[in-house]
Amino acid sequence: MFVYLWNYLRGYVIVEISGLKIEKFLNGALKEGNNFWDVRQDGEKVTLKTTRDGFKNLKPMANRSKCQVRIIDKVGLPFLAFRYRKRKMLLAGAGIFIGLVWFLTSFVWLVEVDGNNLLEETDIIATLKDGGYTTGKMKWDMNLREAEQYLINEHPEILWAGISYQGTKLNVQITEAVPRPVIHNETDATDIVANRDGIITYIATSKGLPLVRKGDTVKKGDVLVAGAVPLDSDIVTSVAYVNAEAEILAQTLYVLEASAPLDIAVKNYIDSEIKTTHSIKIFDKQFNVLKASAPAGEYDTLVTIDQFKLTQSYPLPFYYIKTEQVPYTAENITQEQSVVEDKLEGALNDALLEKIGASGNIVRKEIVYNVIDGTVVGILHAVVEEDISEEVLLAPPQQNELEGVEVDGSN
Amino acid sequence: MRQKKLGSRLSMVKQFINSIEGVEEAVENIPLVTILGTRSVSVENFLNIVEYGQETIRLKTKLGQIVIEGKGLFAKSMNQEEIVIKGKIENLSFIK
Repeated sequence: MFVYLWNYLRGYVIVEISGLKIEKFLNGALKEGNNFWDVRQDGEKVTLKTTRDGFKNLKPMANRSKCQVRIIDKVGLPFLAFRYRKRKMLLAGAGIFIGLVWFLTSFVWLVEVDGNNLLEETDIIATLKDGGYTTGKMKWDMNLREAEQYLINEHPEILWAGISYQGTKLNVQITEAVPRPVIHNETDATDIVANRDGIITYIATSKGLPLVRKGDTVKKGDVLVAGAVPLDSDIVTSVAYVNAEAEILAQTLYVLEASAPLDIAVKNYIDSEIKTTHSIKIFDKQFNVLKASAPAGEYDTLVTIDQFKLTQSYPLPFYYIKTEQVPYTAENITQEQSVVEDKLEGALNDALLEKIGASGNIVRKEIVYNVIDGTVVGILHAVVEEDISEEVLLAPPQQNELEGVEVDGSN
Repeated sequence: MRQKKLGSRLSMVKQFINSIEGVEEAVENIPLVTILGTRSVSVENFLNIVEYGQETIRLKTKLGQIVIEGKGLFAKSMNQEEIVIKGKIENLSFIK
């Protein structure tokens, strides 16, 4: 492939040699340093390809070996240039074309974002656009290092950004920061309170004073383990404030409700009556090539955009847009009640699992369905065993309380 | 006496050259024939072409003739040092 291209650029001659002493001719020509390729023998003739300079040496050699040399074809750029040497406008056109391609490829025509998990790609593109880093901008007008810093400043969630050009694409690579965990200061005095109503099924206290025991019913906000531990001994009478720590499980009740109508509207698309509009978008201007009139009645619109590309790395500001208007007839159908119930059950279970998280454990659940005015209402009752503890910072002890702490050694 | 000494020195040089791989053919002009499957033969260090046809190609080398036989033979490239022959190769032989 490359050899072919190289030969084409240098130009080569396809020659036919005829005579009785072709071998002598070949040997002589090779001795003089000629290069031949695709040497094919056919009867009394041999066709071969040789360079332009090599061809000039063939004549004297042919005379010596009594062979005839005939040019079949001249191939390559130099011959083409010679043929078109007087067509100045063609040359100018080629020059303008190359210049135009170079000019168009010095813009950014597509922004691609990679590495985002939490942030939306469109948000990042919008942020970059606000900062002036967007499609249609010249590459040398943009400082990518500043763009990276700008992006990080605008989005604190972004830990690192790397922006680079790939052809006419602006490649944005980001690394998002992992959300900062809540840091508990182990030295702060805390209470453990209930964050839901429930019946305690398990309690193991490692620090603090437990105020409830297994089987107790607690309400939301009740203190389960107190961080203020009274010290009452012969020597000291005071209160010690500790960071309460305990593992507490409780049975709690969840009631969730979901509803869905029995009747749903279904769109029956009429494929035979699709109206398609083809348009070309150049920069920001859109031209309709083939415009179809809108179909009668109701319709949905489907837009497909294809961006023209020189290669994968060189998208251009030309787009082919296909707009399809698909008419439909709306129809109300009544679903089977069991189908709706299945859907509701799935939705209710998903909602429950989301509420209780990974640590919760469903003990018992039941779903009751009622049909009210054509709507199926599902109510889910679930008994769940889960951790209901929540640490609450204790108010710092009052000054007079501190003063009350004293060693009572006089008695 | 002197001739004998020179001769022994020459054979020593030859021995040394033989011990290095890949140098032998270049220094001594011994033909190097590379056969790739049944569709390509390349011959380096040939002296000249004796016969050139679609069925038979004969090359003269320092060690005698190399005869390549087959169908639709042609030289993909050809210069003073190397000839690359393509086509359906059926036989390759050496003739002293």
